[in-house]
Amino acid sequence: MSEADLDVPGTLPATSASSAAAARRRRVMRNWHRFTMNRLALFGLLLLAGMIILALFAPIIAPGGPFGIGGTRLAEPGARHWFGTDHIGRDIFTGVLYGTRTSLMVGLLSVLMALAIGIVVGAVAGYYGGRIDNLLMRVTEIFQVMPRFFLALFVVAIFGANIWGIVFVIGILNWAEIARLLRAEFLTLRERPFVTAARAYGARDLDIIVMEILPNAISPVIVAGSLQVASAILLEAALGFLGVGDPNEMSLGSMLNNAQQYIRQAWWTVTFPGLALCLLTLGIALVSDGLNDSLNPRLKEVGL
Amino acid sequence: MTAASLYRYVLLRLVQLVPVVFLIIILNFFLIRLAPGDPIAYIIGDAPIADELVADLRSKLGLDGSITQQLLIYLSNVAQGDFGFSYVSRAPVTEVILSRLPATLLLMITQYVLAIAVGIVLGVLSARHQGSALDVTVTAVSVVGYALPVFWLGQMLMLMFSMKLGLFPAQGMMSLRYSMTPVEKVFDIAHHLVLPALTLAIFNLALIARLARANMLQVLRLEYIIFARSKGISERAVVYRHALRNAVLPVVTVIGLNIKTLITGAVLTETVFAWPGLGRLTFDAINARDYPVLMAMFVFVGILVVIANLITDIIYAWLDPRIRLQ
Repeated sequence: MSEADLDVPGTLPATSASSAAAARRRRVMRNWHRFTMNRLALFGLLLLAGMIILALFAPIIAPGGPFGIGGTRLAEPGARHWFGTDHIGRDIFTGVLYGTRTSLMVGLLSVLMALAIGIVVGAVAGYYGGRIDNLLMRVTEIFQVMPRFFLALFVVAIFGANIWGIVFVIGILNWAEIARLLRAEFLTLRERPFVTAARAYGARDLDIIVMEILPNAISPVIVAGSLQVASAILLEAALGFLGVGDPNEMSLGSMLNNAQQYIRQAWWTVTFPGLALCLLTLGIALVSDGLNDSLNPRLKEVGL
Repeated sequence: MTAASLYRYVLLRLVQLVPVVFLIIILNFFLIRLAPGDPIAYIIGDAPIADELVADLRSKLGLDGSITQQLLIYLSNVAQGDFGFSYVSRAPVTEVILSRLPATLLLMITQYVLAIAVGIVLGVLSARHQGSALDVTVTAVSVVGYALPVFWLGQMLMLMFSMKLGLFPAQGMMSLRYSMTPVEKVFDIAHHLVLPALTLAIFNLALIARLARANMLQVLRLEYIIFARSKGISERAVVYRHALRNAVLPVVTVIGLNIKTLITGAVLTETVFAWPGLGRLTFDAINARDYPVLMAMFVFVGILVVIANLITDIIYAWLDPRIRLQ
């Protein structure tokens, strides 16, 4: 039996609010402790934090902007251009900074959108069950089977590439997974004594869902959501690589698309943007792994 | 478990899939009609065509009818495998897609064989020697593998093995030589196949090795393994004769469920290496705004994914009779 099994979830109205808050704080601290024990996860977190800081301060580090032409074309990496320049003389280091910014923005916003839809659908389906559940799950299934990449490609190719459109499409394509996960958690939790007790006290459905069940059901959703950030970033990069990225935003994917023709002459054009992309998704994957280990400690034993 | 229950299960799953396929096709129809501009403009492209011909085309395609009429025409065309003509090659889209299919199949099958064989061996070895240097490496590689953008991996392999070392050709599926004996031709294609297949295989290997390892660790704890050990059977025999099969079976289903990722990977990898398959076709269709081809690819991949899921479910139900009862 691991510690997590001993967590008796839920707070009856009888328990004082302050002790509930203290219990929650203890749980957060314990999870944080477990997380930091995991050296790989900590490394991922540092990596990610570093990249977020660089991305945030991109306009200060590289005031010229990502599209400014700052040198001769295909200049080798050196003191003036750390990562060299591309085929029209743009600084690749600057491009990487702004590209990372775009990647992070698309990743975070699209997953926030997926979480918003997925949590509502999953909670309603899992809590109420019956016909609502059936209907919602059929819709969810369809979204899960859909070839997401092709749909995204198709939509972006038809409607034109725009960063908000890309965020929207990725968000729409990701909520189904969240909804299914949360529903499964809700199904097992809704008959637990703490929920029945809250109901007996006359709590409203919305309060039970948000205050009682959701905090206990959210762990797998957080883990899945964090992994989705990585896959959303990769999807945006893939769209850029296929030449349907937003032309007004620097994207690591479209940098790699441009570099494809110059691999032979200029290795730096393809190496650095890809490396940034890789470190970004690696950081997220490690953090997500760490979250999984600290939030679902039992899974770790079997090596998943 | 009787065969009848398996048939019933298959039938049930088939019936469940019909609305999904239907919806993919309908979505396809509405997306292209929601698109800004006249659908006829998409069909003609930039070709200069007389107004009478446009009007003629409009009535022929049922575009002067109501939206329901249009949908019905579209559905009946799709049911007959008619997706219209490619703007670029002017050939029927179905023909274009079928002509590209063999190249993609060759790439997919090669990389799967490679990824499954190496992935399972690595996974099983690292589970047997838990905590060893090999185990740590496999775990690390499988985490990194998840984070690698497959097209960048392809570009890096190309940079290394084709540009710097000159070992493999960078682009295409065949050399542009006129006279080749059939044997030379096979070797030539195999030579071109190495890098794209390796790219996709590394990508999938990471996942397969990780799963094979996790399953193996789980199975090795089960009672029948403890029993086999207590009988005094050698560790090798326990692992390879008793545990391996049960540990590897779930990997099959993961491969099936992962077909979407695989197709995406194939599109990107084919784009990098100019491999003349469906992926490259998609890429070229995007650049040429060849909408009929894109629409057909969406439906085609959708149906492929649905069928792959169905086959996976059936294999799973066949392997594990408990599923059928639910």
